[in-house]
Amino acid sequence: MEDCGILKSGNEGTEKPLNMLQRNCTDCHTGIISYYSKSDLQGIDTITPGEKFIHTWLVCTREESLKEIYISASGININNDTLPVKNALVLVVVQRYFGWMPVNPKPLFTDKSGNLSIIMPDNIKGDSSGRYKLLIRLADERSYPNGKLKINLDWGEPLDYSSYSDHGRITAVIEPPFSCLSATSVLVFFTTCILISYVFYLIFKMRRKGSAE
Amino acid sequence: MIVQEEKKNIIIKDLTRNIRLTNRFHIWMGFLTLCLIFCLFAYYKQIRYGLGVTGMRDYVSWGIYISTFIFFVATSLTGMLICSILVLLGQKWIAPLVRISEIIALSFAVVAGLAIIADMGHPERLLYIFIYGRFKSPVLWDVVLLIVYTIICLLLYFIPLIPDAALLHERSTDIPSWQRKTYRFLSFNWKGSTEQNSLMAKAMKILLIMIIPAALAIHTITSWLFALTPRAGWNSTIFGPYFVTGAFVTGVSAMVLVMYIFRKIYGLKDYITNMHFDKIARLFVLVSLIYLYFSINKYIVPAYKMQKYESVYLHELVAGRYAPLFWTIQITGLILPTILLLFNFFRKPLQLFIISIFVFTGSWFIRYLIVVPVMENPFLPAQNLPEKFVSYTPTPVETTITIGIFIVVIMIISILSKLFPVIPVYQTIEATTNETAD
Repeated sequence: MEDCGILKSGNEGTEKPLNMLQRNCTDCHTGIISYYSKSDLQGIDTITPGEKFIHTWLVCTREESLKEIYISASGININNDTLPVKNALVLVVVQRYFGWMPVNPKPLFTDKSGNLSIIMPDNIKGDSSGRYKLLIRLADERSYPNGKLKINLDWGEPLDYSSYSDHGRITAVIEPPFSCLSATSVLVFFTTCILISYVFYLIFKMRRKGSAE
Repeated sequence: MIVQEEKKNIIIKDLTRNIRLTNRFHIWMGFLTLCLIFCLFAYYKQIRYGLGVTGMRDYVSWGIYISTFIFFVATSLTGMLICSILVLLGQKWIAPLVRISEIIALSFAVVAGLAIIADMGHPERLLYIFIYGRFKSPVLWDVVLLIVYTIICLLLYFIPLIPDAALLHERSTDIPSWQRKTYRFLSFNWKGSTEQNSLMAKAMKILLIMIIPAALAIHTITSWLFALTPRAGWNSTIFGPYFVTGAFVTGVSAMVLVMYIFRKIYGLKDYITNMHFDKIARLFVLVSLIYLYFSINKYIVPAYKMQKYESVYLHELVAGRYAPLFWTIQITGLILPTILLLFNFFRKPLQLFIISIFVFTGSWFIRYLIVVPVMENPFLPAQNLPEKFVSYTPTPVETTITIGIFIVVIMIISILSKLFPVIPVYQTIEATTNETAD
């Protein structure tokens, strides 16, 4: 398993040995990838103080040979204790053109230690080199901020888009013959204009005849 | 000869009775204007605060404005059906109803654009269609065709009016001078010569033929606004004919309503007779049956296959949230009227008028059901949206603006029917003279 190293971040200036990156770090190929999220938890009074997380972070490591992702969700509670985010719903989805595709058919939850592991399926379609973008996110929950992270994985099935037919697509790969359509539209439009102009000409001819009489 | 002249005078007297601007008319127009001002205030609110004052949100971005637009376009089809097809087929009985059909076609076609402007939020956005319009988009085709169709309707209304305008200018002395000047301007120096008659006939023939492809195109392209979008419920190849036949039903019902009201108010019982109502009712049965055929096709084919997204939409429509509305309008607005009109008793003016109210109202709701439930069921639903972003209910502001659009139509019909004869005078005199000569 590839090691993550230790990264730190501050909580109101206090330095803590936390395995996390700052908010803008969303991709890290070989090491730890984490996301640091903060919430002021205003207005949440129904949850006991010990269960309130001010900060959460996700730590992700991966096992290349098994194509397995390990996620660890932790946070700092209101008493400044570092605790695992247990039994939290985690969304693990792959980015697709029109939205996000769930990796697992069933919901995924962290265990008591805040850990979760998933073996990524082999048949996820990636780009030409089999690369795809994975989003891991803590589901919306009142007791902790919803941290998320994005990683690029090259575990997918390579797909050659140049030879990809339009099967199963919502939109066509090949455009309809708009040039023919445009030419027809222009022709119809100008024919209509000419005919209407001719009708106006007839009306004014009629008027001229009346004046002559 | 004297008898003919007497007959002519009676016809002129009867058919120009409506053009007096009476106090009743002023009160009626005053009432409509007041209502319109109230509706314009709602429109001001929309301009001031944006489309957020309507019920349209992320899911349903086309609400009652677009439903009203397609309803208006559909109603205006009566101009093509009555004025063109039946006239070209040599149906002489339709002659007194031609102008009424053109009044309906013209007023609804002109005002249809207002529904689109209302839907855009700000009126100046209409210019964007022309500035940034894409040739590939059916929206641009629709706008262009609507303009062309309106011009043709306008010409079809005003050209047969030329001899009548000349007659009114010549005979009406007790009218305001601006009205006489208007008639003089619209008479185009009409003297009734053979040459003028043949020029008018030629112009009319061109327009009567032109309006058929124009009307079919505008209704088909309006349907393409929906059918060219890959959405469950719209993704259909028969949307074009479904819209056209639906428009026939709407147009005929609108025709009956206006016919009945004009006959009653302007005392035209001798010209719009029970025979006319009977024939229109038969026509109604014919177009309803064709529409029913396309409706069944539209729903049965996807219902048989029950593809994932189609099934959600169809369930909503047939057994879900929209089921009461759907079944009510299918039964009271289409099936029952078609059955009733098979019997002589229901083809009488009053009965037909009442039936037409149901059909006309139902026609608007059919358009509503074409637009809204489909938009509420997209292929890729957004997650975690508030309920009001997912479902659609028109707000009072939106409803008021829509009512305002209807008021504009009523105002146009009222003005046209008060300024000009609702039955062509010149053609009626010609027909009577020919009958006597025969």
